[in-house]
Amino acid sequence: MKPDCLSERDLILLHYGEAPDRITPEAAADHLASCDRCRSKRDRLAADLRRIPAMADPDPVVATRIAARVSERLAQRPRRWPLVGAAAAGAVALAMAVAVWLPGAPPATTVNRPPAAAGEAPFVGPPQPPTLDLELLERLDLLEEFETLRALEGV
Amino acid sequence: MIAVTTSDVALIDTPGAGGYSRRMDLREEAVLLESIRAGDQAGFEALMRQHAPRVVGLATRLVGNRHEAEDLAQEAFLRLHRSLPGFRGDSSVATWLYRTTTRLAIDHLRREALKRRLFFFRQTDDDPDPLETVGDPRSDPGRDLHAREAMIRLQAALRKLSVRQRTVFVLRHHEGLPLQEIGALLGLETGTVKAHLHRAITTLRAELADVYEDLP
Repeated sequence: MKPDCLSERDLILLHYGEAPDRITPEAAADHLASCDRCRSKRDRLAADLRRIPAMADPDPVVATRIAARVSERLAQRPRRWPLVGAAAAGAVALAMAVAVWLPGAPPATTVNRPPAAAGEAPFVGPPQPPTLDLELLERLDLLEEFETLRALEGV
Repeated sequence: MIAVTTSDVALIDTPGAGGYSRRMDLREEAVLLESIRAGDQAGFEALMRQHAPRVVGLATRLVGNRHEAEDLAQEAFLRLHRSLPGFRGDSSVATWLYRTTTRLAIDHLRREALKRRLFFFRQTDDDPDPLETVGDPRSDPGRDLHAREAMIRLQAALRKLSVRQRTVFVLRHHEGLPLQEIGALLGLETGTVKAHLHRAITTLRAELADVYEDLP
């Protein structure tokens, strides 16, 4: 065996028309022309690979059968995507509604804000509930009664 | 509107060992795809009939069983149908199907290998005759006994290879794909693909040595 003899891997690559690893295709061809041993190995490899049985493409009947099966599957498949999309949109809307109206959740209008700086437009909140006015009126009533008591004492 | 010139004709398949080569007019394909997207079911069936023999053939060579190959082809076409709305035409349908079928076959082979390991399952001589399942039905019914034996032995030998070795061998030997393309398809360096091909062929030659002796 010559030191520059081709390896089995190189012979396989050359058989398939691929570049060998450590030698150019031209140098490999030169070597094969002068080395009986490598030529013999190459011919044996080629004969072995030729004898590997081929597996032909199937005939068109198979194509028709596959096409029919796939079409059947596609026809059976419900057109769900619009429904799924609508359901997802509904779920998101429902979740947002629940988040807004959930008991105990701080209303969006009661966010703590820093005191308005001078010159800054005061924060205008939502209309206050009428309970504040009633409280004021009750206090005014108490004041009136207190004044009445003082007047009586002074008599 | 599809802007494809009449010169947009691409070689979509690399000539295989069997000399398979076909040219596909990308313009015709683009028109057909647009029609399918608009709801032309008959167009999709025509597309399937056009590509199915090639897809089933590839899957059969990869997994070694016609029935499983037909299931894989079916799945590939269902995926194609799902992908059509976003199909940009970066590659031809044939290339897309080639890639998808190869990946489906690899997944299938890996699952099968795992099942065999988990359940100690071994395919035996009782399993269906590979020639019955992968043979060409147009061939002579009294086909050569040596060829039948060789096919059975080939399937048995292919099962001794790792999934990658088997895939690389089939894609190179049967499909005629250059090693660089195989590397791109499988996400492997070309050197790694070369190593897999070398190991695959070394194993196959050893497994089939006595078959070779018997054959003329």
